[in-house]
Amino acid sequence: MKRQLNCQRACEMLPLYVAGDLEETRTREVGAHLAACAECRRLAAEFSESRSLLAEACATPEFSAEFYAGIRSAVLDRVGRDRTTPSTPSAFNASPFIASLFGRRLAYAASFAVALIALALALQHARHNAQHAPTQLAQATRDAHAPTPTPNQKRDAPSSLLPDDAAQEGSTQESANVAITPRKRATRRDTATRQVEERAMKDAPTAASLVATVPRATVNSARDAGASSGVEPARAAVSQSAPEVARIEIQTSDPNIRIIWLAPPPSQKTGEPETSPNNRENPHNHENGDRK
Amino acid sequence: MAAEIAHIFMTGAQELPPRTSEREHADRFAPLISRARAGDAHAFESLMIETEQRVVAVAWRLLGNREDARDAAQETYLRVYKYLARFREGEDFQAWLYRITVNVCRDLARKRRATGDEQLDDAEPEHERAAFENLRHGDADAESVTLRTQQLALVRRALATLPERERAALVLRDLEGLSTEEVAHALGSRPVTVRSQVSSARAKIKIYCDRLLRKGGTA
Repeated sequence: MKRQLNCQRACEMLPLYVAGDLEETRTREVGAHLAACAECRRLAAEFSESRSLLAEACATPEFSAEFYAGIRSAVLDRVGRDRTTPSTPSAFNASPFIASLFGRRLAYAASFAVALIALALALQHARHNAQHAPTQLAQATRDAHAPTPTPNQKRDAPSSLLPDDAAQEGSTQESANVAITPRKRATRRDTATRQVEERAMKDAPTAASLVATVPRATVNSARDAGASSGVEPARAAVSQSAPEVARIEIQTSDPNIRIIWLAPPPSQKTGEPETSPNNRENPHNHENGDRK
Repeated sequence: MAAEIAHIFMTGAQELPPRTSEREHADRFAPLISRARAGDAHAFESLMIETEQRVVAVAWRLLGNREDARDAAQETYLRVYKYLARFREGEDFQAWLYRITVNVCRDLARKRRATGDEQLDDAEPEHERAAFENLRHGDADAESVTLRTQQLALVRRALATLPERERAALVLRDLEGLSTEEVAHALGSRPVTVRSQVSSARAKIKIYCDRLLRKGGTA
């Protein structure tokens, strides 16, 4: 009889063969080989013997009824304790509907959904604030008292930066000019901010109008304190870089854009602001301009 | 001739308990499961009574001593209680229970190893009692009884040295009598994987037994 399998291949399949775990075709092949090979037959017998030995060694001992009763009572006691604890959900406390409603997967899904909703609301709120920031800025400039200067006034009126009484004259128009641009482009935050910055760069009175964002008390105190004593900075928008220089910082709705305006005190007559508000990212980058 | 040889080799093993079909299992446990999920404590207790022997047997075979088997059985039923609401109707409860039992035994064995609190094999006294009963009845002599008892203890030790997955597959397949598909379902793996694990485990046990028997009973 021609052997279908060699001994090596047959021996590899013996562990499964002796327990009937081979498919039918393979079982026939191994059986045919064993019929012709005494050595493989001996190995198969050893496999069977070891399985018998294992079964005998692992025959479960007799466990008494008390042993099983002890297990059940321990489990039921624990289950009973869990049932009396209101915070512990259990299959016994909940109906199948409620148990399925508060299944772990559903709880995870619900938590995730709540987190998504919260994130969406936060994003919407942030977007709403960003849209209204230019409007607020425009509103602040409209509230400024700085006058709308003539070209001469633009050169000669740096003092309007600080004193609110000087800033009051003609401020409406200038403020309006400043305000118009942000208001027109209120829906486009970056453009509005850029417009305000450009005007601040070109016109000193325009810069003065920005002073309107500074609380009046702070502006007054800056004027009253004079150059030497420094100005109490407003927490919101003003910092004092030097006693002689008024410093105004305006944080736009874009966190990457900040307008910093430095101006000499009202006693000094300078034609131009000390610095341009191009010092965006460096609040400490200021110059001590002309004091006279 | 080949069929006769196959018959001899394949029926040399122990008498396995009769396996009822999966459908019968599902039908038998379904009412108890439904009532237990609805809050019936008596139904849950009945469920335990129906299955505790299997659970304890598997736990004892995987862990090797009564104390650990008892702890594992308790923990198994606590998990069954906890997750019963998630058990899908129509699913094989027995396979689900086996899976929990195997996982509990694995966790307990790791915990014992981590704390250095491994229990000794307590099956030897049982086998000694049985062996000496045979001796008393004249079925064996004292030396062979002692030798046999030692051999069985060494085989159990060989089982304990197997990798976790191979040991679980071998216990469920060869000692519990589950089919390869049932073992795969219980362990959450595929039949081809179970066959590979079982084949490897049997080969290792056979090598261990060869040394045991060919060298006069000492490993």
